[in-house]
Amino acid sequence: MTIISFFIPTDKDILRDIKEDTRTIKFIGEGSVKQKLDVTKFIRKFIYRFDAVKTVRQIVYIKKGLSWELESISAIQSQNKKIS
Amino acid sequence: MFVDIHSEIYSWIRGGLFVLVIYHLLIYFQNRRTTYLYYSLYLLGLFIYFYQHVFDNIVSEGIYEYINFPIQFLAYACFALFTRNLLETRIHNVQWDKFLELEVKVLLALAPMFIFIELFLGYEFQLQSFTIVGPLLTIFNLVSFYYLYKIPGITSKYFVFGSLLYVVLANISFLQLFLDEEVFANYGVHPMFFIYIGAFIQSIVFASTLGHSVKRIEQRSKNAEVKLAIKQKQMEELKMTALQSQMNPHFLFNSLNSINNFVLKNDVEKASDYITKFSRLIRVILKSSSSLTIPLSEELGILGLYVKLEQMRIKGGFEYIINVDNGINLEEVKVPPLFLQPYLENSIWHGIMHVEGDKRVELTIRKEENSIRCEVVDNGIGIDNSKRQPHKQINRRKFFGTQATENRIKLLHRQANVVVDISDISTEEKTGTKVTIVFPISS
Repeated sequence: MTIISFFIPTDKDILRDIKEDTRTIKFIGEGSVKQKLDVTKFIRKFIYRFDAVKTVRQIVYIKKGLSWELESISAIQSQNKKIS
Repeated sequence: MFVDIHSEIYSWIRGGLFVLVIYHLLIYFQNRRTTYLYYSLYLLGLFIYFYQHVFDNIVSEGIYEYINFPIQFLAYACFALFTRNLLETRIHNVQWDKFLELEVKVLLALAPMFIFIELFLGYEFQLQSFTIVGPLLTIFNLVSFYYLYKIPGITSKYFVFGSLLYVVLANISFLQLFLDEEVFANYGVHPMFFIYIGAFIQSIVFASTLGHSVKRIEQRSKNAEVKLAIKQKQMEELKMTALQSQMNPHFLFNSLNSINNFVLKNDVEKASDYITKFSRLIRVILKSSSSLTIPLSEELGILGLYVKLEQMRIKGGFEYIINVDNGINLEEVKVPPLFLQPYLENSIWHGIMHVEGDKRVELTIRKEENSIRCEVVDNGIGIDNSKRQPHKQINRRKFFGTQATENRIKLLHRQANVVVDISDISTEEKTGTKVTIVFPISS
């Protein structure tokens, strides 16, 4: 792996950051990297298994230099209400 | 002449066989092809078998009563090995090759067995045993010839002809075990006449067969050398193409132009940022161009850097989305360096540059059974429209590098299961182009 290699936060990284595990979290899709001029983000969607409403949430990482930093976790609702 | 086993014709044949033994042994030591070794040993066995008639009765009844049949079995074992080698039965008839292998083992077992029979039971018992074993061997050989004849090529036909002739004539000679010598004498021949003639004709036919086989091997070797030279040339051309088509030269010049523009506008920070990223990109490209392949993770990293530079050049920028299957080990998948860059470049400069509003290029990497599917989708004007575009000042560039890329990836995977498709995905509501590249996973 070189300094320029492409990589994204793994499921393990995400679960560690949100302090959950696969028993409580179910990921939706594979996630995407969105690169714009000023910012590069990685977005992964998930639901809580025991959430009766099955609200879809997304975890957003932001690229800082060579690493990814957790930016936010939010429910994908019309208001995009931030939880943390 | 044909009745007396000591006459010239039999001596010539014996002498000829011995010369062939030495000749083929020398060829074996020269080129180490075991075909010649086995044939030489087979002829040696025949020669030793024929030589019993040169000795007087005391010697022939002494030594030859022990080795008469064993030497034949050993000779035929070498013949079976010669057959397998010459006709490449391991390749052309795997099933029957196993039977030939078994025949070799049986014959090698029979040789010492007959010596023990002579030791404990006497010559008569050997003769009786051979009257059972001999016909069985003959039947096996005849069935073998049927299957061996089917092997493609003229070598098998020559071989079967020569062998069949020998087997038939040898069996006529072996009739002496059941008939009186006088029967043969009435025809003016010694009983061994037929096997001698069979060996003689077989040697001539096999000489031609071996010559043809050598010619075939040499031709195959020449063809392989030619193919290798062509492949080496292609690989060199591939490397050159890889180096040359790493990047559209326009990109390099336009990048320098952009830096110049930033400086002129006094946007020192942007100029510095662009130069840093640009020099990093050039350094990475130069490093990766020395390899025929790089990991997909590195390729995506380089693409990200390239796209960042383009985003800096384009007013309003555009969104670059990357979707990667979690199941893909990006370090293990190897790709030609910058094989996706030309398609991204075309998406940007021939696609999204001509649309208003949100501009987007999306790269998706998926795993499909044993292949990787790469899709570049943009919401530009579509390739069909793009080709109809008049040449504009800022857009005077060609579709660059895509053909070279396609060739590189096809050559890398030897054309197997490689798909490159570019299609216009425009509908009434939206426009765009989709590039699909599918190639097998190789480590």
